Amino acid sequence: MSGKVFITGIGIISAIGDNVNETIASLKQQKSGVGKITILDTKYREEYVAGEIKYKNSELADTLGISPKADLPRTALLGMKAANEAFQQAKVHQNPDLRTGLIAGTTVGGMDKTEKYYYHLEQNSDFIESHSCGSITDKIAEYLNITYFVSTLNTACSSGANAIMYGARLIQNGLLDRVIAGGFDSLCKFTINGFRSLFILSPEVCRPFDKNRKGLNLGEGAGFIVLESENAIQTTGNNPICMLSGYANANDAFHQTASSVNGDGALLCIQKALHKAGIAPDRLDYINLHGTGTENNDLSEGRALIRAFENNIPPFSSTKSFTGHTLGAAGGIEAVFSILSIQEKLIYPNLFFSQPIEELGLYPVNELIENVTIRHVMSNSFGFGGNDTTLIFSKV
Amino acid sequence: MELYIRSAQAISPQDTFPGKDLPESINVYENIVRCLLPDFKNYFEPLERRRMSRIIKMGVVCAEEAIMEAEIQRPDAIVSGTGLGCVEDTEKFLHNILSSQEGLLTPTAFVQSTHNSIGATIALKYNCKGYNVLYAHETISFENALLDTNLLLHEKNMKNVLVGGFDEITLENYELKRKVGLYKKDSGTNLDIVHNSTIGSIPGEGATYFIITNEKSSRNYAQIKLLNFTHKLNGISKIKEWILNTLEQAGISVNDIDNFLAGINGDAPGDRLYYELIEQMFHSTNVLYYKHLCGEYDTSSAFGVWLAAKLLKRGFIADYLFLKNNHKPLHNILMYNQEKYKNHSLILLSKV
Amino acid sequence: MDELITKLKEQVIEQLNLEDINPEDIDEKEPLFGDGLGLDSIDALELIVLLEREYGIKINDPSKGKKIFTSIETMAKYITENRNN
Repeated sequence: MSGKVFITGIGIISAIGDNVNETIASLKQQKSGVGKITILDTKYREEYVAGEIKYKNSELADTLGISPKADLPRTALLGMKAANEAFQQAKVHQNPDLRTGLIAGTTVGGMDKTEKYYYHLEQNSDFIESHSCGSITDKIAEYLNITYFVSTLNTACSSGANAIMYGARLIQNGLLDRVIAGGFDSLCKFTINGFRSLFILSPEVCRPFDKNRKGLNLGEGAGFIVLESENAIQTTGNNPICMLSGYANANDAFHQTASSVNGDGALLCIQKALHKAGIAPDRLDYINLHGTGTENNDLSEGRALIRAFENNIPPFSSTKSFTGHTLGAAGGIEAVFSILSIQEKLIYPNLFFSQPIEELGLYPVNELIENVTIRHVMSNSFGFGGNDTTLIFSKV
Repeated sequence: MELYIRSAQAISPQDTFPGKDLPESINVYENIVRCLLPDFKNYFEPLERRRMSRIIKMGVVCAEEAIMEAEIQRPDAIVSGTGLGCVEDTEKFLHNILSSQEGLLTPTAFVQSTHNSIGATIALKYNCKGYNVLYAHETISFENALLDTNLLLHEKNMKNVLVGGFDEITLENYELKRKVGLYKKDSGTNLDIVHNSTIGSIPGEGATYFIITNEKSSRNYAQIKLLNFTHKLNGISKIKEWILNTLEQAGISVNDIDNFLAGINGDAPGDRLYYELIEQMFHSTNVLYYKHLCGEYDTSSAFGVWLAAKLLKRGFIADYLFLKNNHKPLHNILMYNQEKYKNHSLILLSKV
Repeated sequence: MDELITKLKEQVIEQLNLEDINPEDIDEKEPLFGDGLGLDSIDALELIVLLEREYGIKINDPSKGKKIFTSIETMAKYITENRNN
């Protein structure tokens, strides 16, 4: 199993921008997108903040050229937006003979629509067929006219990252030439109430890796990247933005929702990904953390960083105070951020940080760093059920 | 492709668990084909059972038996597939939210509704820190799990991968799908699926897990020689072309196929494709079908693989599986499944 | 107090879905978490819901729950001191 995997397209929509350019601007302005919930009709609008995208479904549908009457699930609309942006950049519609796949990660699936109509079947019963995770990816495939290979993963918060890893492996094993991979998820009552019942939602903007962190904020959005094999790039003539040089998946095997005290799964992931990329730990220029702002994740991830890098931890930050925790989309959105860090020569600040976690004494980057050459960047995604995944992107 | 089925376990609506062969006769169910369950008390302490819904218990127990049958300490990786995940818990939590208007909620149903609960629980039980994912893409969820397993056994220093598929049917889900014509509107049994003239399938459920290895052994059930699936093909000639190309790439011709195992499920419009293919391509092979044993659900192809593996091991085919008996030998079985002309999948198993 | 303790045992068994465990099997002084009954953090959250739903007592900080839920007895004492209905 060999061959490089190049990135030739990226697409994103989140609380900090509708597309790549807007996202870059927000990141540079260090502007958080977490704020009041105004679109989702939830009882907890006043109690929590979230990384909500300020468009109604009808407005999203409009920008996609879809009739609002179709009443598509929000997850489908967000996924289409980001996947299409990546698709266009990589000019996927040219070279239809290339074996092309669409692989997505999601946790919500069509739930945002299901919860709206579950007690109102007489208004709409389409949700019955659009409830499953796979059915949403299908809608994106239809929108982009991808017919060869379409798949979906659901491993909680690492779904998007696992989708990218699977896509890369299919390319390296010669089964696909090109993959649009990433994740999508939308805000919905199910996840807001679910995380609330676990007492891990913060009433204010999250403070990853901070001593006084109070929990996570939910977010929504989608992030997709186009992966191409070495051969495919000869055919498409695309200029690679960077490469996916390393990836790994490990299970923490500790508890259904909590991460192990010493970050075993995270450590394994980090080490295996570095090994796959063939680079020494000190060659990383930036780590984009999972960094949700929960007491448990940050402590566990922090311990894993110390064990993996000892005294030499590369600059690191969490971008979840920009976007909130976008669950299944996080792996895709943060892959885009990682790729942009190489392209735009940026290291993002860990917003709202003031004091380190006492047990760790770790200081994330807390101011934007510009004009920095990023040769290798790591992105972590750690989910419920100990589902841990790490990706490494490298400059070509 | 050189994958071997080292162990195979299925919790199904038939008497198949644990480690049993095909049943002598088929259990008949009306409208919904629900699983026969083992006594879970034999597998879990009360404290363990508290946070496991029915489908999670089914999947975990099935996986445990597969691991025990393979006589390994723990699998090197865990790869699962499901179409809908943990439906009962999802419904529970959803009802809780909607009926209480987002009132006081308990976390257990939310935690249990996480799709990869079974994979996570097995990892916990066996302290398995290896690769662990879940595919949730409708009727090719299990096929993706199998494909990923093939990649894993190629890429890594792995020997034994736990692979499986699970889906459950609840009364509520059944009623919803019946309303929109996905399941039969009128009463019927699981025996009624052949040449059925009405729309809708007969729903079922199950949990099926295997240990798949790349090590040859006479203990193995069968070899998986070929696996291919694709999202969309327009029209029967494209489908035939795809099947022929797939076989050709594996160095096989249609004439080499002894048994064609079709995913007929009772839905007239969808099943038409199978009957056309049988007539046009597989007229001289034996033709078998299996969804009258397990019902239709997204990962029923996992049960189909279990069935094929058992047949190849024991060397003869039960009468109730034949749609057409052309007295061909039992050297290989080609499984084909599709869902409304989408998610076409081919799996070829052969005798070891 | 005894009546409360018996009722509480039944409610805990039901809330936490402890099949095959009877009220007589639980000693009210026995630790509920760690060694003892062996409950975990999610069970603690379930008990918080139980307290609010059955006794009108709201606990906003799960870490406070640790002390209250040490045993059935400590739970009963807390309820007696704080109940709202």
